Amino acid sequence: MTGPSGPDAATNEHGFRVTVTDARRAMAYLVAPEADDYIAIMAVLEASVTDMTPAEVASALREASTPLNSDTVETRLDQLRDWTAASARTDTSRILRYADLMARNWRWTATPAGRQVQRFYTTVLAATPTMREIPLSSLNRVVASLEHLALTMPADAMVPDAAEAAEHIGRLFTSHDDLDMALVGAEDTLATLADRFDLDDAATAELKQLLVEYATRIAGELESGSARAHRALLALQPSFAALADSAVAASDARALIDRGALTASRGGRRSDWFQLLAWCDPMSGRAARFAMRLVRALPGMHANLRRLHASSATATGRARALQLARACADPRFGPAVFLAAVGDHPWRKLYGEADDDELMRAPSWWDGPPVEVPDLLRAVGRTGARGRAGAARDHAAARAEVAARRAARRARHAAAVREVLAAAPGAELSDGAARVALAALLAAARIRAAGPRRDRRSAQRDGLACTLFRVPGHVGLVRAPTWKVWLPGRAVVFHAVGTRVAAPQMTAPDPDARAGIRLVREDTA
Amino acid sequence: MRDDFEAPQPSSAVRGRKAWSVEVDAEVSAALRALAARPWLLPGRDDEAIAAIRRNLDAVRDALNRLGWVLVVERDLIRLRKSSPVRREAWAATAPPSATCTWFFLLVAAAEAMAPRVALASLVTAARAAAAEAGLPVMHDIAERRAIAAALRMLDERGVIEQVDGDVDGFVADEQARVLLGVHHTRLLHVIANFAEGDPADDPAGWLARVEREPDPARRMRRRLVDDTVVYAADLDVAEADWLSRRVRGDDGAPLAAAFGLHVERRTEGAAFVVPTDAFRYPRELGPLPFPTPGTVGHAALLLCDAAAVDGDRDPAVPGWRAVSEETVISRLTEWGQLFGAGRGGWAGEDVDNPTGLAGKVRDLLTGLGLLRVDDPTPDAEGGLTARSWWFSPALGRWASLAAPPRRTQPAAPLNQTLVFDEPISQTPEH
Repeated sequence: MTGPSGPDAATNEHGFRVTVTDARRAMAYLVAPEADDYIAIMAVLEASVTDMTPAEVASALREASTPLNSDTVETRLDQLRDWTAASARTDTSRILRYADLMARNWRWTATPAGRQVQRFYTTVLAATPTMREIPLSSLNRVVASLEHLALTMPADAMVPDAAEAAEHIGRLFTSHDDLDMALVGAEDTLATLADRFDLDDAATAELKQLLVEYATRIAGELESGSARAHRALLALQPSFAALADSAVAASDARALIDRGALTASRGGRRSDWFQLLAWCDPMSGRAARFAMRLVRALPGMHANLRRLHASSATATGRARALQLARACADPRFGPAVFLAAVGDHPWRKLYGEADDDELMRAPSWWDGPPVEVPDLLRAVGRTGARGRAGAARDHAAARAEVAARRAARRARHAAAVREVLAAAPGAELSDGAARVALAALLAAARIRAAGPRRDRRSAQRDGLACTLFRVPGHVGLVRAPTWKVWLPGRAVVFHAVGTRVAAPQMTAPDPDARAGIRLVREDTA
Repeated sequence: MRDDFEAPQPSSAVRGRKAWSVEVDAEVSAALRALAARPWLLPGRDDEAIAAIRRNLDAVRDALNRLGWVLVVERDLIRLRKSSPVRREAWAATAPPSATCTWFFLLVAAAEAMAPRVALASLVTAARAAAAEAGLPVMHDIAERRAIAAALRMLDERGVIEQVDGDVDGFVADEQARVLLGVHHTRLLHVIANFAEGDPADDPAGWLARVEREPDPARRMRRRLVDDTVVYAADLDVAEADWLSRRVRGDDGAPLAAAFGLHVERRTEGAAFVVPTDAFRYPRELGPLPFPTPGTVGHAALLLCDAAAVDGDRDPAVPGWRAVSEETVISRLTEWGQLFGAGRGGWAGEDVDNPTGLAGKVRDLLTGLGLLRVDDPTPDAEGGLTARSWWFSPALGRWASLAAPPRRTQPAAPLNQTLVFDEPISQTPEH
C-alpha cells in the first residue's frame, strides 16, 4: 500500500500513502496508522441500516467505547471516502436555505466494497477461526436434489419442468455452499491441530475427539454422499447447459442477468456445474481431501497422546528436555547426565574366548587358559597387509633392451642375407651369413621335387630363398669359415624371396625324395 | 532374591511352535549383540537387524527384560532404552562435550512443536528460544554453531531429526544455510529414556544417583556383565559378590550370556562376558573401544600391557594388579616409538613425536575398557608428590604373551633374563 507518492496518491497526516488506484484501495484502512479509528467507524457504518451523519457516527462510537470527536470522525470519513470504503450523499432534508447547499450536509454509509472488507476483517481476520458443525443435512439435500434432477431429466437434455428444476437447483447450490464452507473450516481446524505435536491435554483431547468421534463419521458420510452425487452429476453432465439456462430462466432477475447487470446465482452457469462435479469427485474432491487430512492427523494425535501419557502434566517431554539441557551445561556432570538420560550408549566388550569350559575351579587370569593374539598384531601392530596394492613393476627398460636386441638381430640378419645374395657360388661366407644360407638350404632340401619342373626344389627362410637344381655331375657348395656343405649332383642358387632364377643348362629330373647334404667340418675335411 | 532365568526359547516355540530353526538361537544372539552395540535401529540402515528382531521379538524381549531394559518396537523404529552406563566416569570421558549435550536437548525441546519438514534456521531459532526459556545463554558465536551442528549430527544418527536436503556442516559457517530437516515426532518421544524425580540442573549428582539406582543386586550384576568389559570381584558389595560366586556360571549368568552369544570368562579376580571371535565381523560391534586392535594406540597399549604383565609392581592389597610408574610408561613409549619409527610401516608420526600424548591416548583406551586405573600422585615423606602409577588389570593375563611371566606350572624366569622394564621383579609371580 505504501510507496512513493504520485499524482494520484492520497496521503494522510501520518504520511501514509496509498498508491494503488484499483479496488485494493478499499482495504487501505485496515493497515493505516489510524486503523483502529477507521475500523471502528466502518463497524458503525456497516452495522447501520441507514446513512449516518458524522455526529451520529461519533455518538455510536461513544456507545461502543471508542470515543472520537466529530472533527476527527469527519476527517476519518473523508479519508475512507478517498479510499472508496465509504460514500457520502447530501441530506436533502436538511437543506432549507441556500447556504445549506454549500455546507457539508452529508450522510455517510459504507460502500459495497467497504462492507465486504469490513466483513472479511470481522469474520476472517479478526475472529478466532472456529470450526463450524458440518451440516450433513445439507449433504442430504445436495444428494437428493441431484438424484431427483438425474431421475427426471429426459434423454434429449431438455428440462421438462423448469420451475421445479430451478427450485432443486437453488436448493442444491445453497446447500452445497453451506456444506463447503463448514467443511473448509473443519479441515483447517483439523490441519491446525494435527500439525502441532506439542498439544496440551485439552488440545489433544480436542484433536482426539475431532478425529475419533466426529471427523471419522463425517468422512464416511461425505464419502458415500459424494459418490452418489458424483454419479448423478455424471448422468446430468450432457444437460449442464440446459440446467444452467433453466436456472436463469426461472430467476426474477432474468432480464438484468441477460443484460449483464447482474450475475446469475450459482447454478446459472455451466462452470458452476463442472465445479460441483470436481467437488464431488471420489478421488480428488473435497470429501477425499478431507479424509486424507483425517488420516494424516493420526500420527500427530498419537504422538501427542503418547507424549502426554509418558509423563505427568507437570513434567512433559519438553519440560524434561529443558531441565536436562540446563543440567548438561554443568561441566562436571553434564556428559554423565546426558548419557544417563538418553540411555543409548553402546556396550564395551572384549573379544576372543579362552578354552576354559572344562575348568574345575576359577583360576586367576594370569594362570587361566589364554586367548591368542595374532603374532603380527603384537609384533608390529597390524593384522595383515594394509594399504593399496603396489603399482605394477615397470618393465620398460627390459622391453627397450629386448627391442634393441631384436633390432640388432634383424640388422645382422639383413646384412647376412645381403652377403649371401652378393656372394659368388661357392665363395666363403661369414659365419652368420653361412648360417642364414644353411637355413634356407635345408628348407629347400626338404621340399619334394614335383610338378612340371621336377629338376628343382625351392623354398625360403627368414627372407632368403634357395633353389636346388638337379645337375648330374655337379657338386653344390656352401662355405663357412669352419664348415662346408656339399650337395652332390645339385647346384645351389640363393636369391631374393619372390624372385625366380634361371636354371642351369644341364638339369635333370630329381629322383630323390629329399636332397642329400653332406656337412663337413673344416678341421675334419 | 533368587531370580531364575530360563534360556530364551525360539519365538516360534513361545507362540505355539509354528516353525523352528536350529539357527534361531544364533539369530537371536546376533540381534541382541547388534542392539547392545547400536541401540537405535532405523529402516534403510539396519533393515537386516530389524527383520531379525521382529522375527524373534519374544526371545529378544525375554533377554532384555532380565536387564530391565525396554525395547521399543515401532513401525519405523527399534530402540533399546538402556539403563545409565555402569561406569559413569569411563563412559562420560568419551561422551560429547557439555555444550553439544545441552544443544542436543534444546533441539529436542524445540523440535516437538515443529512441522515434520522444517528449515534448519527455523529449528535453531526455536532452540534458542528454548534456551532462553531454560535460562541458558545464547552466544551466536562459532563455538555455539559447532555445538549445534554436532548435536544435529547426533540426532541424525538416531534418526530423530534427519538431514533431508543440504549439509548441516554448512551451518557452522552460515546460519542461514539452506538445510531441510525432517522431524520424526514419534521418535522424539523415545529420546529421553531415563528420568528421575527432581531437577537434574539443581542437583546433578543426586539426580544421577537416583537414575542409576538399582536395588536388585542380580540385575546390577547382569547389567554390568552385559554392558561392560570386566567385573572385578574386589569392587562388589556382599550381595553382588555372592551373585558372582554362585550364579555367574549357573542359573542366571550363563543363560544370559548364552542369549547374547557371549562366553562367560570366570576368574578369581572377577568375570567377563566376552564376545567370541567368530561372533563379530567388525570391531565396531564391540563398542567404541575395541581392544586389542591394530594401529599405533592399540599396539602401544598391547605392548604396555605385556610389559606390565612382566615387570609391573604388585601390591597385596590389590591382588592381580600390576603397577607401573607414569614416567616408565612414557620412557618405554619413547623407546618403542624410535624402534618402530614414524610413517609408513611404523607408528603415527605425531605419536612418535609426542610420547606423552600417546600415553594419554593409551590411558583413555585402557581406562575406558576397565583394564587400567591411574592413581593420583600422593604426598611423599619429603613433601613432594609421588609418581603417578598406572595399575594394569589382572584381566590382561587373558592374552597370551611371549613376554608374559611364566604360568604357575612352569619354572619362574631367572633374574638375569632380559626384561622390558628396568626395575627388578620378584622371582615368583604373585597372583
